[in-house]
Amino acid sequence: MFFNKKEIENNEDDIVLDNTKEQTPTSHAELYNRELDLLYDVTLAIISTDGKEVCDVITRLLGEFTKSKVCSLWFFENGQVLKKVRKGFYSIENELLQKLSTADFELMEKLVEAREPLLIGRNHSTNDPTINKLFYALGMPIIVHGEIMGVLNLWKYKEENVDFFSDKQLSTLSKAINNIACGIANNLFNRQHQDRIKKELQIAQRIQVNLMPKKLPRFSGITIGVRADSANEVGGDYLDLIETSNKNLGIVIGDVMGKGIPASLHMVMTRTVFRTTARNDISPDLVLKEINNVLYPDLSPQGIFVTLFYGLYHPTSKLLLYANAAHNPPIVLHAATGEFTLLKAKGVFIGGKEDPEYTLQSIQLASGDIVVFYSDGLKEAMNKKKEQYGIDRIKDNIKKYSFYDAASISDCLFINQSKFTEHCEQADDITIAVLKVE
Amino acid sequence: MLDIESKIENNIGTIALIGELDIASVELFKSKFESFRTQIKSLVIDFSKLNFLDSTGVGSLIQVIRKLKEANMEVNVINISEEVYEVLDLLGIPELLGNEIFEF
Repeated sequence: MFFNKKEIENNEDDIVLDNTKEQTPTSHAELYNRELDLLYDVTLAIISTDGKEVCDVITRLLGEFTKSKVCSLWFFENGQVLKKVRKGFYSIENELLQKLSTADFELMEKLVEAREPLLIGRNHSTNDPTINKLFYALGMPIIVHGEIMGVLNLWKYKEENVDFFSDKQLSTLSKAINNIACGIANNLFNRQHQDRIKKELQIAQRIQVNLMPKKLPRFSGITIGVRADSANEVGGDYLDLIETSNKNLGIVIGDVMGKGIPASLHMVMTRTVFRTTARNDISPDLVLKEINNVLYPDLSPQGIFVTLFYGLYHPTSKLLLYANAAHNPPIVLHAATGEFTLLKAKGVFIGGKEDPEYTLQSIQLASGDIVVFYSDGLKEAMNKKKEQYGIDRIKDNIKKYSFYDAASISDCLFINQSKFTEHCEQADDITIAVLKVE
Repeated sequence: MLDIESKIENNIGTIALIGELDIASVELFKSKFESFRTQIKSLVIDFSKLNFLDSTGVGSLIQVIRKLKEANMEVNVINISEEVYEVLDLLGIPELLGNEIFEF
């Protein structure tokens, strides 16, 4: 832009258009400087002020600049002339607000019709003879991309001026106001746009939260606990618990590359394929293979991958069958020995290659055993010293809280991890699921 | 934060990644690669000063290696730290793309 603060500061003495000096011809350069001044101040206001306040600042700046008694700024919400709102209202004398309120509305209505600047007291008048006798007014439509977005009105007492504005000043003012108007309108439009995106994100968040297991399936002989938290409104972590047709527990945990909206879309795709595949007690290695084969054509060209672990637990025999598509191996704490086992199994991530083979593994669980499924957001969470939380701290916590039920263990893991990272911003989605054999 | 040191000598390109290759910096890495692509016959990616790699970073690495392999160009990732190799290994990437590409 062409704002030059130094130049503006040098001209502080004659910032405002002084109508008492109307007869003294003002040089073009001076007018130009004043215009720059005004643009600078208003731009500053738009950048640094928020919401409704910005309109009040602008009406005050323009009111002072033109030495007007009243200045008002109208906007049409959502670009609809039906929804007219007076966003800013500046007045040098309080009682003028009330006195001019109706006439100001009337002028605004006239501008919507005319779509060009109107001068009350010169070629136009209001319905109120008293107002016409006492005031001059300049009304300007704010037109952006051919649409009238609002109007700006300036009011002055008649007796103070020989004339309202000279043509020269009028054109300068008109140019300045138009620039400002575009700025304000764009600013408001951006805000509306942002609000819309925010709202859509909130809805997406609600949808995704509802996709998480809300009511945990109940199985005799085990307790289950889950905790999940996205770094953004929506995330790419996936956790699902299903009861299969043969009354087994299917537990799947996954992590989509990246985070936020793109990751969440792939998470939902993965969920859909998983749910349709896993329902009928199909072996975990074949479930992963099927998910890969359905998603591979979509994921591979974009270089996106999903890690996925799927376990199928048989409550009567306490046998856990599992296969792993490159997800962090879940951690098992054996109650009898106090030893840990990692549920590793060979297999490439989802989206890695066409028709891959996954290894089917199994582990016999016993009373008191705990299985912790987690996403790398838990392991890789960092504190201020850039230390990762790490698998050893997870193991220590599992041991420490091993006498509690699954829900308490998942809560403790989550809380202790947040304590570790203190006030560091959560960088990645964190998901934890705990299964404990009673 | 990611810094990149790069050079081309005798049609061999070297890209040294310094710092963190993650969701915030993958575009930098990818665009560096794209600017090199037509000028090189083989590429060496130096991980000696890489101290963090997230899943998006891994994704970009896979994409770059795949593109080079499709064009029959040689590619090597060298000086991989134990922590970073662990991440790659867990994902089965050496196995997927070729063990010979990855060097400690």
